Amino acid sequence: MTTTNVIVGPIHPALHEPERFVFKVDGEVVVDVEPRIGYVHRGIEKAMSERTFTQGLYLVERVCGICNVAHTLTAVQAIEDAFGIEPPKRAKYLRTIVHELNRIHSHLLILGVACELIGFDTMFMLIWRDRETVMDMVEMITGNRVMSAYNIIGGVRRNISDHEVSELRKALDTITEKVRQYREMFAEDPTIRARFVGVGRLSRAKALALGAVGPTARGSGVKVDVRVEEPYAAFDEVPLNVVVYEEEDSWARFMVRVDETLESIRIVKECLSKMPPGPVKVPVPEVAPRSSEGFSVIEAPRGELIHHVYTREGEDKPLRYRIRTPTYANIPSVCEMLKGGYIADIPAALVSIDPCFSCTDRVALVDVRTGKKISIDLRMLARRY
Amino acid sequence: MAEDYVKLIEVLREGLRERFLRYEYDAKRRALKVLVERDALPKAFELINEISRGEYHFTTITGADLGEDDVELTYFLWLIPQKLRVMIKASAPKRDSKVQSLVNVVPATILYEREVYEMLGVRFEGHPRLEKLFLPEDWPENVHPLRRE
Amino acid sequence: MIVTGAVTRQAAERIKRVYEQTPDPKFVMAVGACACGGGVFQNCYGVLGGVDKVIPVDVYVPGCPPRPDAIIYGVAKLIEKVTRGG
Repeated sequence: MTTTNVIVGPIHPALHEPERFVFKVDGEVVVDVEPRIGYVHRGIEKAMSERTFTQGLYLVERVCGICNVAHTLTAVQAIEDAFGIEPPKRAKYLRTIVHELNRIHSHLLILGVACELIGFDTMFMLIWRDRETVMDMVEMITGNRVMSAYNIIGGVRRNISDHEVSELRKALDTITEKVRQYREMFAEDPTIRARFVGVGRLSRAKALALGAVGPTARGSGVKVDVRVEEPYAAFDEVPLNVVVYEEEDSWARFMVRVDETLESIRIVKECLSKMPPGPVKVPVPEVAPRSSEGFSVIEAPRGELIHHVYTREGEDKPLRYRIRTPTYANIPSVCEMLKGGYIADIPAALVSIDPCFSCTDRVALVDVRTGKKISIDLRMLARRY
Repeated sequence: MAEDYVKLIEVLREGLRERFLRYEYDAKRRALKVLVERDALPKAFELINEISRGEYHFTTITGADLGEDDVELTYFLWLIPQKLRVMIKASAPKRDSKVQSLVNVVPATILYEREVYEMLGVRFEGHPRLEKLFLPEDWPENVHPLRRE
Repeated sequence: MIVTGAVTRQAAERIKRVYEQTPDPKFVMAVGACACGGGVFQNCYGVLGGVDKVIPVDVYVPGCPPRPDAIIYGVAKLIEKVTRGG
């Protein structure tokens, strides 16, 4: 068997080899898909039992640089569930605002990446420039662009000033118009449609059977959004529309995200109007007040995220801490999308699940007839085919 | 809507009989916890499949070593029409931690079972590919990171 | 060679190999607290530590994450070091 390796571009130690997916191919057709998801495995769940509850927040925040807020939100809610603590209402609203800003930035990020992948470099830069407005707002409110440790057990770390509220409102108005334009573009531009319509097919039945979550599931007609089904933070008082598309392809998944971005902007504005006065945090014991079990499920930008914690009374560390990220849940669905498809469709399908890895990520193509293996990154794959 | 949990309990009780151990319902969260014998798991999920007509979302499996003689398994799912969060719990003794694989009944369990196997040593019988998922290839065979020893 | 992230056991061999295969002159920038020294993942069983556990590092850019401006500053420092003949 001969192996050909191609090394391209900047090197992220986790991305060199092995590849995230190994595709067995026959000519241009993908015959089988094997996921390889172990090389960024750091051992976080075990580490969580070796850290106090508060120390653990700084660790979970770094499960994913883009989702960071989603993880701290889920963590504090799970621990509050186990401890039997209720954060103040104002804190719930602030959590919701930052949570939705996180969704907006994350969706804009992947929409930009999708454009870059198909060669729309200008659009990628424009979308990311608008994303900067959101990052500025997050920094203003929480103290940092990412990794701000804003969510704490019992509430949030900072209050928001009237000036910040008015700045946020202005920023939201600015980006609304832009996002509407992006929506029109994704819906109608012939190049975008050519690259994403019909690619990465995932039937509703398969999406449900394989445990798909988030826009990946909602792009296949599965009308489930944790914010509506199991309301958390301020979602019991701030209603939202679940965005669903029936086309079951990459295009549908991107459309879900564009529409969700507009919906998120609306949710933040509504939170700003409805937010009650009051404290933003309550005092919290340093050790678990009871032996218990808690869990929290949220709709992270990529989909359903769950943290599950076991506590023992009097201990300052969790007994067991489990995290299941949305991208992990979507792996079997991605394999399903690509089996029987073309090599050319791989990048468009992978990017459409908004995976928790970058597009300089590598995949391996193994020809079933010759045994020849090529290691190639997604961007090259997209340009070459 | 929430009363649907009563219907589900009846169905599980009737189908599992003495292998249905107990349940707890949190009305505020619409969350139902059910404890069953480990060999009742496939049947429990067949019943869930029937009562929901396949309209449920499988969330994940947590395996936990809480310092006792067994590994506690929690299967999380969301019943869509009933709008019910369900946690099916079962225990597998550490010395003989075999559990039947649910991959044929619940395809979404395929990667979660591998994870619980590598982290806690629970063997899922009938799984098409019970091998490591996250741990490196050269990780020693019988060392399971989330076991307390 | 710009390296981000903590070095996991699986990545260690590959980083070494990539470094050895990179032609001279070569320089390494460790970007982020994890690449600098393991960061928040120190003492996690999957993590060996920072990049210098495996290959020599020329410039360290701390931060979690480092601001975009900090990375640019790091590159400027590297250029300075290179032109000085360091």
